[in-house]
Parts: sequence; structure tokens; C-alpha cells
Amino acid sequence: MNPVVEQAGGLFRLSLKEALFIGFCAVFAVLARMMLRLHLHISGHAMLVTAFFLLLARGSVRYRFGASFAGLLAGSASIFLGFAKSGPFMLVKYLAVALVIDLAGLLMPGLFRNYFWCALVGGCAGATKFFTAYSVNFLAGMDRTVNFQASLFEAAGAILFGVLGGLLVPVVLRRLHAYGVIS
Amino acid sequence: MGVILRLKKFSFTYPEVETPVLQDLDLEVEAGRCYCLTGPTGSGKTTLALALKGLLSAGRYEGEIDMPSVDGSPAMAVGMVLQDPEVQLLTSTVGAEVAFGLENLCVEPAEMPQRVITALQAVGLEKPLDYPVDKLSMGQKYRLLIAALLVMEPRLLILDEPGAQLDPEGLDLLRKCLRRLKQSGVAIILCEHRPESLLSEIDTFWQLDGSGKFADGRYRGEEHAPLEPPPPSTTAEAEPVLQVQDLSFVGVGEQPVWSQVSFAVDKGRRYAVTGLNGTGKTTLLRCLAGFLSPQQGAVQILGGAPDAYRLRGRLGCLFQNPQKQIFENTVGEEVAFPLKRFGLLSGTVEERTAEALAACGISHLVDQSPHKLSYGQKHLVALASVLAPRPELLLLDDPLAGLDDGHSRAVMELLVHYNLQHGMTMLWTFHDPEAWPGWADQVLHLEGGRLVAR
Repeated sequence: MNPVVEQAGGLFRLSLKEALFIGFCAVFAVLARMMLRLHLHISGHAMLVTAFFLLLARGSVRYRFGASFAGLLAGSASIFLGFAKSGPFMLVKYLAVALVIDLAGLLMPGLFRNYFWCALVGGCAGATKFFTAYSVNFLAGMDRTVNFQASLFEAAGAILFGVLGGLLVPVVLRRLHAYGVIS
Repeated sequence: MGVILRLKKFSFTYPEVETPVLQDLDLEVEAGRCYCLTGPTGSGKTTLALALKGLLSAGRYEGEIDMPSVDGSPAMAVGMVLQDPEVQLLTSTVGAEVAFGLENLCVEPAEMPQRVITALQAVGLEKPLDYPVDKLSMGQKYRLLIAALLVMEPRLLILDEPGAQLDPEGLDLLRKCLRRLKQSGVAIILCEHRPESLLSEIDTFWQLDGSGKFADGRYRGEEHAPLEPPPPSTTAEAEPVLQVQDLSFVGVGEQPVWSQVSFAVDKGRRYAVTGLNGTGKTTLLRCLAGFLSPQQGAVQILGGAPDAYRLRGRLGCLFQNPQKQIFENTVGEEVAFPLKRFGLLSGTVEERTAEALAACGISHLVDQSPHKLSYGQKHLVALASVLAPRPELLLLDDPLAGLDDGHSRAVMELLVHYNLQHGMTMLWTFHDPEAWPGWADQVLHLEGGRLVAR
């Protein structure tokens, strides 16, 4: 019976516990959006849930691509469930946000316990909405000037909600850490 | 007898902690012997037990644990009952809990009932097989878990603090059970602060010295002068703060847990409620606090019926399982929480928090997470958080569970200090009627469903 203690996963090794965390975050990211389909007529409000759960997925594990993995799962689930209005493009929307978070996590591993940095990364993740919205509108044949203005407007809302989603992350991570759920 | 488990230069350090909790430990466990692991509260006894069971999930370790395998044996290798039995229960009924292990060992269903009943009889838990687990007391849950392990015939049985949960009757049954297990070649490790009642079965003592290493002999706590009972609480005149009249509570089925319970508690005095496992001590405290509604009778507490809003800040409750009332991120925040909720000034909050932490001897844990502490340390944190607001009436459910002799003594002295200094009325429970004679002004004993004043 040796060893008795499972060592923490390496940089490119995903442990069962980490995989479960990422899976939970992906499921909740989709479920929360499905259950809270609020017709607020506020552009970008879905980014609150997306940024929060993808930041949480990366912040609660050591795995470098935690947010991307969660984004991939959540995007795939959204496509197969026929959820949201972008079809297969949902995968790109989730992955764009996730890549920003993973990149930030790579540059500043300790950012997830800090309100300022979480809000900043949440805002940057929300800014990806401009590119995804512009692409969707472009494919739909929208005029470039109108598309640019509309995408900027949507991105502004997404940035705002991304910041709010980011601000929620440190308090949750601190609580999970205090309970010994994450190390 | 052969060696069934060997520890070689084993060290373990929890995450984000510099100092290892266990350092270079060597030990051998032989079949048919009983070992007792002693040491002060928080010295790493439970950590070592978890390591032997293979349940340490995160942290840095060195060395190895070697357990020679036994080919073809259907028995489990190591069985362990944790200090807090509630985290280990898996099913909803007594019979299913004990049979769970047998199901995993692929035992024939026809064999199970007799083996389950035999295991339950061995620990003195005479309940129907369909009795709900959540209606058992903490002591009964501990007995149930021992039965659930015995039925799987482990080669090594680890019991973490049986004395904290079992009454004298339960410990006597456990002693007989340990003797039978030893004779059948099972090794036993007890992590125990008070092993007196099991001394006849213990072959070897191990002592963790608090720095993670083994020391010779048995830990007996710091040497103290013989403890004299404190002076009785003095009150100018008897002013009842709690009146109980003909209280009855029916649990599972038609059998009452207790009935026609009547007593009064006077302001500024200390009371002890004693009784064996499952006699309804915790149920009585829950009824007094308003957490449970009795079927009959009336409770008048601090001038009215039990009502959470009215009693806010006036009644303090210490639960038997500290995990149920700890929720903040740090020990300091945990103790300060009720004070902030009561709207005290920040200076007063800091002063009261520091005072309560110092009184409970846990000032050094102020920035640590309470959820990662040992069971005894969690109990001290919970105690500090209920003492800090200085409530008028304090209900304490087994305040010494999981504490070593030194800490038990300190807690009792602390309770008496708060009683005498602040005029705090106290009602605490023990499952051992002989424990701490003279420390309560009056002892209320639960036996056979009735309350008897002594």
C-alpha cells in the first residue's frame, strides 16, 4: 500500500477532482443560463454567468486550461441542447471567453483571490463579445458600420457584466478554500 | 503474530503549512494487539489514523506505509471509525448501514441478516433494522459505525476517540468486543484522550509529542494539582430563567424519548444534564431552544416561549457536533460573527473576540480556517463563539467532546469563570453521570424516559 497519498496533479495532468470541478462549473454555466432566461433587454447580461463560472473553473484548479476545458464542455452542451440563438457558434463564444481567462491565469496565477484582477479579467473576457457578435452579424450580412456599432454596444454590456461576474469569484474561492474543498 | 502494517520514516505536511504535522514516524502494527495513540489536542492523532487508512487526500508526504497483502481473503484490510460519526454514515437505516459493507464484499444475501444482527449485538445497539439512522444519538451512531466495520471482519480496526462519544456502558461493551477481536487476530488502534476504561485491553501506547514525533510512554496531559470543585454559584434570590412543565417528546414510533419532564433553572446557576447514549439529552436541549417542538408540555425560557427572534443574543447554544455551527472563513471571523450581528462597535467586537479566543486558548489559530482544525479545536472555536456575546443562558451539548484532559479542565474552569464573573446561567450535558462531580449546582439525570434531579 504505497503511496497512500495522492499527490497534486502536475501542470499538464488533470486529476479526477479537477475534472469534476471543471465539469460542475460547465454544467452550472449552462444550467444557470437556461434557468435564468431573463428577458431583461440588457445586452450582454449572459456574460455574468459565463465569466463567473469560467473564472471559477480556472480558479479552483491548478490545471492550466481549466477555463478552456469548461468552456468547451459548456459550449458543446449548449449546441447539443439547442440552447441560445447562435447554434455552433456558441462553442466559439465560450472558448473566446475561456481563452482570455486561461491566458490571464497563466500570466498571473494568483489573480483569482484578488477582486481587482478578477474584475479586470472578467471585463477583458466580456470584451470578446465584440468579436463574436461582429462575426455573427457579419455572417448574417449586416452592414459593416451598423455591425461595428451594434457589436460595440453589445460588448459594452458584456464587459460590465463580465466585471460583475469576476467580482463574485474571490469570495466563493475563499469560502471553498476555507472549507478545504480546494487547495 | 505477524506484522500487518508498517510505517517507515513517514512524514506529512498539510497544504500551505510549513511545519509537518507528522515527522519521521516508524511503527509496526502486529495482528492481535491493541495500540493506543495519545497526544495533546491537535497533535496529529487523527492525521496519522487517516494516513494508515489511506484517506489523506492532499499534502506533502515522505516515507511509506507498507501493508502486506493477504491473497484470497474476503475481509477488508483497514476499517476506521472517524471522530465525527455523521460524516461517515452512508444509508438511511440501521440495517442497511451495517449491510452496506457486506454488499460490497459480495456476501450472499441470505447470510446478511444474521451477521448484521450479531454485529449490532456486539456493540449493544438494540434497534430494529429499519430504524432511521438520523434519529440515533451521536453515541449510537458511533456504535453503529463500529458494527458496520466489525461485520466486514477488518484486519486492522482504527477507532478515533471512542471515549468522546460512548457512555460507560458503551465503553464496557467495546472493551469486551476488543478482547474478542484481539483473540481472533485483529489489530486495533485507538486514538483516545481518556483510555482508562479500555486500559485492560491496550498492549502498547504511542504518544505524539505535538511536534509530529513519537515520544516514550503515554500522554497524560500537563501535571496539575488535584482539581477541587469550584464554589457554588451565588445568587441573591432564585429567579427562574427557564421553566419546563410536563414536557414529553415522541421520536420514532409511539415510544416517547422522555415524558413528563419538569424542572426549573434559576438565573446565574450551573446545571448538568446526564444520561447514557440515546436517553434524549440532545433532544431535550433542542426542545428548550425551540429547535424541536415537544408533543406535550410547555417551555418558558427567558420570560417567554422559545422563539428565535426573541432569544437573539440572549440564548447561546453549543452543538455536540461543532461542524454544524462553524461556517466562517477564519477562526477570528467565526468568533466575531455574532458580535457583529448584534451591532456592537468594532472596538468592542475586537476586544470580546480576543478575550474569548484567549480564554479558550486558541488565540494562535485566529487566522486559520476553522474547518481544517481537529475535532477538539473546532469545539473550542464553537465554544469561543458562543461565549463571546455573553448570553444570559447558555446551553452546552457535551462541551468536552474531543478534548484532552488539560483542555477539558481548562474549559470547565472557563465555564465556571463566565458563570461567576458574568452571572451566565448554564445547562450542559454529559453522557457520564460520574464526570465532574460537584461542578454543577444541580444534576438532572435522564434515565428510562424520566428526568430525575440529584
